[in-house]
Amino acid sequence: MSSITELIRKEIESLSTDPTKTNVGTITALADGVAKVEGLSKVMFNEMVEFPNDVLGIALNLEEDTVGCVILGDTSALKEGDEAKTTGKLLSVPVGMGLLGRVVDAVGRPIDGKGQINSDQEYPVERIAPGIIPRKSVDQPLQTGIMAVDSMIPIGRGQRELIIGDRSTGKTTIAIDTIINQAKINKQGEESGDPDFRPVYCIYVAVGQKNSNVARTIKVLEETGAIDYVTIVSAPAADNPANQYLAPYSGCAIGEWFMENGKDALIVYDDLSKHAVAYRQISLILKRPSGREAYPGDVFYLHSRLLERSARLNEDNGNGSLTALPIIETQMGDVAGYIPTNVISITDGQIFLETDLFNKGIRPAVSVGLSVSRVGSAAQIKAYKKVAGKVKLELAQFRELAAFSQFESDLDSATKARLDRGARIVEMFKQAAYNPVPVEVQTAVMWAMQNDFFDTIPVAQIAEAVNSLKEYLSTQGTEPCAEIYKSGKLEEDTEQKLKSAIEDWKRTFA
Amino acid sequence: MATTTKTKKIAKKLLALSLDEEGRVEETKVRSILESLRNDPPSNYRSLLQEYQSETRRYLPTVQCGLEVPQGVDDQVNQTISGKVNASQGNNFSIDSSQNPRLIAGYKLRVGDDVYEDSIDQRLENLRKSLS
Repeated sequence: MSSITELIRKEIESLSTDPTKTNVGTITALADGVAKVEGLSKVMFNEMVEFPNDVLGIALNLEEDTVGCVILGDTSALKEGDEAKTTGKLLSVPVGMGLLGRVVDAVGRPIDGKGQINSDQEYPVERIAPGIIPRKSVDQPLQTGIMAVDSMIPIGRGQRELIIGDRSTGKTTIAIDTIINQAKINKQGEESGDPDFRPVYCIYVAVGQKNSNVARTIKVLEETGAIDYVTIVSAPAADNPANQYLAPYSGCAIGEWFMENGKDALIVYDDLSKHAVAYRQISLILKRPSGREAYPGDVFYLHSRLLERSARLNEDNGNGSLTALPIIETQMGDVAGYIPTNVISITDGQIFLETDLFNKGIRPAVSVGLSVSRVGSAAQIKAYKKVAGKVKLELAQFRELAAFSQFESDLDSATKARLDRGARIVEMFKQAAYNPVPVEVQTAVMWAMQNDFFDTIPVAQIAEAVNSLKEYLSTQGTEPCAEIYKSGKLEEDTEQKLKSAIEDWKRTFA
Repeated sequence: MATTTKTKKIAKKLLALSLDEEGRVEETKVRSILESLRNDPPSNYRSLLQEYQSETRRYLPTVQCGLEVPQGVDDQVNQTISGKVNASQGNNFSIDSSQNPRLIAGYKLRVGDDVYEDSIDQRLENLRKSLS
């Protein structure tokens, strides 16, 4: 009891009793989550503005006579004539390790019912991206655990790789798989006790999604044990557009803390199409001039300033990184839309998912022709680089030949062989959701494919064979995979061990 | 949009006509402007009046500061405050004092958009915020 009164006494003692000076204004109009405020002559752009009943807003439009403020809370408690005050602060969110395993809203308040966030540091949501000097080229891999991605479209730490496709083509699944894989690698690395091991922490930003979808994602992350390494920033569809607009920046600020403290982080923006729509809504209400598809003129800057904050920093700046996986939803496979082309041009590559492939059962439905990683093989371990070098070309050739072969009855043996190999590769890349594969196992499977171990198996059984081989390599023939994991290379003696392990497996599979 | 801009310009001119030599809004001038408008109403009469009202509302705090105290203030205090405000702001401010028992003790002074406050009410509010 006495400690409580002591606590309050200390709080009172620490209170400043000096006269305060505040800059105030009056609400003259309030509609659609936006307040027009007269006064506030000293307000700054993006400054937090305080309204009655502890409601906060952000000054987004500074006009001659009025200030347009976007309200970040319940507007029903506000009315015309209410006083608004400047706070002198930019909108900030809590950052740090205490955010891991938590679900927060767009302004960093916990919404998971697990109590207060254990954090004593805050970062402003809007920050300037790192410049040229502190950056370093991307050369460390960030494994997604998805064979089709890690082999053909490798992602590096600090890269921005767009995941693009129509609705229900598995965009979120790729992102979640990547998060789950990071958690698996983190656990493995922590257990190994390797002092050089660098875990990848993840931030998942849900913008404009259904609450049920967010809940499902959280459940998957909990079931797979990945939640301990993840922070979820949620601004669902029911949230006001201001929160949906802010959520990616808040998530980015959380990710930047990891990057600036010499750690690696991955951030998923799911999705930036809805983010652009929320920003369009705010801009239209603020009566900003609209352009193509009614988006405001600065919609490119909206995403470029966000994605530029992902970077790989050099050793002098802590060697941290922030990798971004933005998601864009296309309409009828149209990648030439306004927002998709904007984000494609900002990012360092894209993973394009096709509805047709998805419906044919080829999952993940990665379109080889339209997907690219501008970092390329610089972000692959040597062993993987050795076995995956030709696979993208082989698969692209297969897709082209497959289209032509529909009209040809007689095919030469070389074409038939290429088609046969392509069909096997397609089957090999089929992978169940939320089941990422370690990179050493991927390497071994790819090696088996490149060395014709699957050629005697019927195409219809390849997927089954690949799963069986993965299981074998993870349980019985673990030695070659362990060597690849340790060295990152595929030496000659490792290849011999791999060969004998695969031959053993093949006997059991047959 | 063009009408609004035109209306704004006229409203600004009306405000300029309402000022005396020291830049204060003079009630008699405002009354005569309103009367002449009433006698010969323009097509945008309503919007012009609204704009005139907002222009005046925006202008008043730049020449008049509002002083809130829990109990009445005598003229001497008024003059002292007025002198200090004029010295610091470099303007000819007049004081519009009013009573606000909510303050309990202390004062609240509004100069333009700036509010200077040192009252019990404000200290209690700070305490509430720090404890919540």
